[in-house]
Amino acid sequence: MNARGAIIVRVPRLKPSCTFAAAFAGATVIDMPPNDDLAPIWFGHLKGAVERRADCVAGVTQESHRFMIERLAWSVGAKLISVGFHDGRSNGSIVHELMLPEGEVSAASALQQAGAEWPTVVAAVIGRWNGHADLRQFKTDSPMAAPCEADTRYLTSWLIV
Amino acid sequence: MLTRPSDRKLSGVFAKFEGVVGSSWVLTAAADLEPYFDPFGPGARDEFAPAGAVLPANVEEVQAIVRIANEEQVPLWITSQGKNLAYGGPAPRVPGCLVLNLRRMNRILEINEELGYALLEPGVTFFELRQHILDNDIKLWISGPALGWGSVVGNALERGFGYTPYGDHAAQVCGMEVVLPNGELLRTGMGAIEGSSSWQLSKNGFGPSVDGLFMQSSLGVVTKMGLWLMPEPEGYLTCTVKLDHPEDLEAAIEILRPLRMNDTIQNNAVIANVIRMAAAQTTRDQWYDGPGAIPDDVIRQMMAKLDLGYWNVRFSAYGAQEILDARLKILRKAFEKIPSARFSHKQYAKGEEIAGPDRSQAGVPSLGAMQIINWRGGRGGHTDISPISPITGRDAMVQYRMVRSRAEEYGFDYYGGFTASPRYLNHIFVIIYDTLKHEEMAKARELGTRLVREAGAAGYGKYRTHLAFMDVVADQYAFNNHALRRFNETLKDTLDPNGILSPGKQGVWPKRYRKPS
Repeated sequence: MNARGAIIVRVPRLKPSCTFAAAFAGATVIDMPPNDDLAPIWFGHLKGAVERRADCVAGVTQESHRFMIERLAWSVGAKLISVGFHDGRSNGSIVHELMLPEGEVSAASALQQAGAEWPTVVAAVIGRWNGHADLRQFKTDSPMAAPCEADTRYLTSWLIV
Repeated sequence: MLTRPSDRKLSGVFAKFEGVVGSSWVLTAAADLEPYFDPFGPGARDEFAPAGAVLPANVEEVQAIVRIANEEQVPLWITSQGKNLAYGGPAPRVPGCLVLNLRRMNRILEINEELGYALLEPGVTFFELRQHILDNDIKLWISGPALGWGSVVGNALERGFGYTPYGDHAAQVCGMEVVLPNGELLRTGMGAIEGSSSWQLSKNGFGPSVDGLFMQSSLGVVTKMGLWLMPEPEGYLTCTVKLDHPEDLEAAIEILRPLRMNDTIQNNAVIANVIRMAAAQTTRDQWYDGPGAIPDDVIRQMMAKLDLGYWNVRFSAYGAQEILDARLKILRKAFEKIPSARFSHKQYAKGEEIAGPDRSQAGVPSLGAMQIINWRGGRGGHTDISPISPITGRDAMVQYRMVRSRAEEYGFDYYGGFTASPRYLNHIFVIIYDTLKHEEMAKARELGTRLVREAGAAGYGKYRTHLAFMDVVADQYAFNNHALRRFNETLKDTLDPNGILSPGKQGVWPKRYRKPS
């Protein structure tokens, strides 16, 4: 991802999505409209970029956004990689289920320590992504200082390659 | 009988297909086939797994592919954009089918503004059609379904519906071009006249009408379709009525029916329950994380916090300002007879920017409706149970009670609503689940099957269904010892004796797949 520009899809109502976007200095940040209608941003920004393979597109979003972007990416011959599920529980922990390249084992433990800053760790992993083929599954449970907010439940991190 | 063709056979077929479309357009690798699986299927992923996909660019290539499939006796499953989600998406009924994907055939062949029609290839999406209309300043509106990324032709063929006065999409179809199972090319209606001047204008050709044979069908590959489009109206009025009590549904339907039948309400009215509305903006765990369906007291909290009714009714009217003013007066007066009714409206002049929630009734396609898959969390999916009933308050209440109580018995929320045409209701109940939780999906499938059978026993048939329910839905259409099924099988065996096109679609099986009777 380093060699190319980055476009980050941000969902303004989700704090982790904003934290993830903020970790990419200099990236183009595209906000999901409040009604979640992806059409204007897909046709207005993302489709051309994905078609040209000019920029990497990534995000921490809800599942519906990931699902739609995956299918739209397929329609122009690109592929979305689901990096992880991130689920903030009311018992005060965040469960991360990740598919990471072999060399990113340390990221799993970093996530465990990261607490609410987990999107920054995921951003670093995605920032280093470079066409890895062999992915390994990791699951971590990261304790939080307080019960998780609703906007941390059922999130996904992904990138289009 | 539902087995995948051998790898040896498939490799020979793929080679022949490559000779027709080129190697780039024959997909066989697992990664390339991922888009052709059903993402939401309530069952094992391999149950509806394709063995390959072929993407022709034109009619001649479709004909050649169909002829090869006949020679090799391999089944093809026809799809265009593959967005028939909740009903199977692009996936085939029979595992091992080769998907005949028509998305490369995406030309808008003609739009006639004066006579109000389009002639389309099957790969054209709602977004593309609308953009073309905007780019060329054509004063016509399209009608789109909840999500605009699907094929216009595919949606009409599956009898999809939208939210403008042209919302019965199958009813707007006028003239088709079809590749028959033997590879021959047919044009229906007036299109059978060489150089026809009215193929997209009159549905009545000469002799039996055959267009309907190609809807929800396995009798041909539709390669062109005429579709009537609505002239841009002078103005547009959209109304919302919020009703606080479940039993208000009965009165609302009784009020709606005459207004739909006399065309005061001009589009398909939509009656959505509170959960359907809440799922468009929140997730379930924000309200309730306990066992079973969401309890009534929590539902009341939802209504209060989100300012929703238990039922939320939307409908529209179109035309000149004076006409809209008169309709508004009638509509408000009619619905305010229900004590809990909260009536509101918005009116737009021609060319005025239409606000987000009012766009679908103006035919503006969007992708907003996918939020529902977040409702239960995880990797969300859904399947829809959609029985048809008369548009009466009594039938609506029977449907609502029947489906809600059964859904709750299985631990699912009643996420539902009705789409009201002038003479019938389409009751849409959406079963939402996490596709990573096999137990949840198995329960969804069992619930769906049970609802289909119980609805059938009560005289209600489904109009469309997921691959997993096609046989059980077809079983309900049982009049006179399944005369309709036997008729469909006779047609299938006559037109497609090798059973190569979409075997099992809508429960119609070719002879070689049928169990001996």
